[in-house]
Amino acid sequence: MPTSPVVVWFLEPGNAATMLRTIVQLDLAGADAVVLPGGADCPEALLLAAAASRRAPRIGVVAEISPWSQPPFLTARALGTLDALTRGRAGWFVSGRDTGTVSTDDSGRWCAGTATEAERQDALADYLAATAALGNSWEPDALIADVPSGRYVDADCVHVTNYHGPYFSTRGPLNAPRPPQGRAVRFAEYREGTAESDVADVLVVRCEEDIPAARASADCVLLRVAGEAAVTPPVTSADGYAFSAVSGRLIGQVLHETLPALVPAPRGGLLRDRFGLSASDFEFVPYHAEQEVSA
Amino acid sequence: MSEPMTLGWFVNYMPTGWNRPWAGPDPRAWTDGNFYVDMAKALERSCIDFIMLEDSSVVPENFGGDMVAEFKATVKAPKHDPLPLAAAISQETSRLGVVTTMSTSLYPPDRLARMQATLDELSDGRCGWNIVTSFEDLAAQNVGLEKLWEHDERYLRADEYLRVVSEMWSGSGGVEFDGRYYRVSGPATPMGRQERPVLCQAGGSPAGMDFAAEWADLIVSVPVGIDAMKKYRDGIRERIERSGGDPDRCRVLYMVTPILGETDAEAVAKRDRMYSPESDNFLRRIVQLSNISEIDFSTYDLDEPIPEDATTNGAQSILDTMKRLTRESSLRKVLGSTGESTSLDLVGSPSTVADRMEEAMEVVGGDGFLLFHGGGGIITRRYLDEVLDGLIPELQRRGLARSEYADGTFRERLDRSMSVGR
Repeated sequence: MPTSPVVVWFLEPGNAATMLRTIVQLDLAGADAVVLPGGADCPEALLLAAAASRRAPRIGVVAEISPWSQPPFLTARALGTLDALTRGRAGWFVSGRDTGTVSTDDSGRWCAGTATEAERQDALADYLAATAALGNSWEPDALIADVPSGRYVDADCVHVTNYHGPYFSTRGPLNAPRPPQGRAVRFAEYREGTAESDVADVLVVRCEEDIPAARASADCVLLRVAGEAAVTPPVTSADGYAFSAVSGRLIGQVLHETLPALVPAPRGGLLRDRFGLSASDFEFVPYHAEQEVSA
Repeated sequence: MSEPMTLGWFVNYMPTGWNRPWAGPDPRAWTDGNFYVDMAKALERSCIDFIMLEDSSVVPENFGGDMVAEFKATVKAPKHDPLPLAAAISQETSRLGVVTTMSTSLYPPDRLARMQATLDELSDGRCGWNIVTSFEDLAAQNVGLEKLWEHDERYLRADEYLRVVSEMWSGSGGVEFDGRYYRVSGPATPMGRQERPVLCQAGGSPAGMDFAAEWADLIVSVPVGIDAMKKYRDGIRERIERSGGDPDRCRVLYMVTPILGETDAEAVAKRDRMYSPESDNFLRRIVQLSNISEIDFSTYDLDEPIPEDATTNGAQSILDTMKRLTRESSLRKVLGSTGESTSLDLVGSPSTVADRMEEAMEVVGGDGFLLFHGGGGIITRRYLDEVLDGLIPELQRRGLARSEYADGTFRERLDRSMSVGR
């Protein structure tokens, strides 16, 4: 685990210019990562993350992409590209919360629209499994760029995914190579027994009492500190803090007073390393040709 | 010429030239996007109107039934997602139009509307959408469909799709759309700076041309030769007029790959080297043809004519054409010496190439060109320099290319009805 507390900031919705400005300030203040919300009341998170990465060269960018917004293939590919563009600073905030939009077509594919909470949980687990399967369609050293043999990619290192779950199917492989971290770091709000809590690398808890349970399923656990409470974060057994609902004059106070005391020196490098996550969790999972996934 | 040409550059987020001279030091460096961000900045220095980022989402297996040939030719794969790259480019440029390719068959309409609205905000009114419908069943299977709809139905669906996203962009509050194909209800995603992205489309078929005439602000096309270019543009303008529109509201750009040298002879020699059956060009061409037609040309003897009794489940018209072309020849001879699809053969010194472009615009009537040097594994910084430091200044000296950007959003800059006093 990192020696000083990990600092993640849940950005409040706003317009792009305001959100970008805050991300730049967070980068300078040494925050480890910023979570960009997925709601309809602000710019789309993945694009905002990519834009921010050009202005804020160090901070991790964690985009909330709703599993109900697009097929797993498009999410897996977009996150892989974000990781490549940021040289290993990408994260995915996973949440099955209602998006407020119901979008269907005549193809018969499953839609979250009127599904029950239990069905959504199943579907979310399926969605996460599909993206994970796609993430393993490329082996780490597939790009060989071997001039004598004329091969840019070793085709033996790229595998058709053929994922067929109860809700989502995807043939694969991804058309993009494996990114620097292997995959984006997965973040989620801790709720006992949910699909997102089960697979997250980093979990955010609301109270100290939840930390042991959250630790049982994730390598890194952060305590949420919100609003005024963010100015003086309490002592915690968590690995760090998730600052949220910090807005207005509080932003300056937390940026200039709270963070410098918490963060002696900004961390760089791969996002997963800053959270003390085990590299083995991001490694390529050997592919079995006969594997047909179904739940 | 009353107004400068509209110039765009079509590029793929793919490997740059990696197995040829001037490949640069790191054949994997393209993945972090810096090459393409730098390229966008260079285009902006040269006052190019827009960059258009291509997209597709498959690793083709058409040639040989597996990915081996594709991964040598890198015609379509590997490739990264162009959308985050466009967002990055939006932060490092301030005038360049940024057009992204998104498929109506793959993205849900509400998602697409939201992504474009965000790109509009991030770029301060410089986004465009290159509308494609995809054609590969493998792409359909990636997103949980069995296969794609047939060609003309894809355009019917695309037409409704455009109506959904238009509502999402113009609406405030909620959108309730209940169509034949799509049903969307939820909050609108209003565009901030432009009323909608600049819409680009490449319709070649009658259904495609109808669609383009209905929706597109920019049409990109590759009719070969000046006569075909003129005929295509006239066809589009006639369609717009027939439906009561102003044909000047739409621009037709022709795709070209200039090959430049200090002298004409040097450029010709370069072209002959690039497009020779002995180079890797032949593999690229035949993999590309297999991808477009979904015919596995590896099953034929590459040094013989295609047998007259050959049949295919892919594009019959392409197989018939290749039968005819290879009759006294072979696939290698026919394909090996051809280059990228290009409306004009632009080979020579900058002034020779500028002559040809000027002459074509005079005969055809406008509106400009879409530069292209790809897909993957081809483009180098050196090529960019040749075009941007050689050809473009020559066009600028003649008043054919713009030397400064007009004010306003990308859409406003293209709108001829607003160009008074420019």
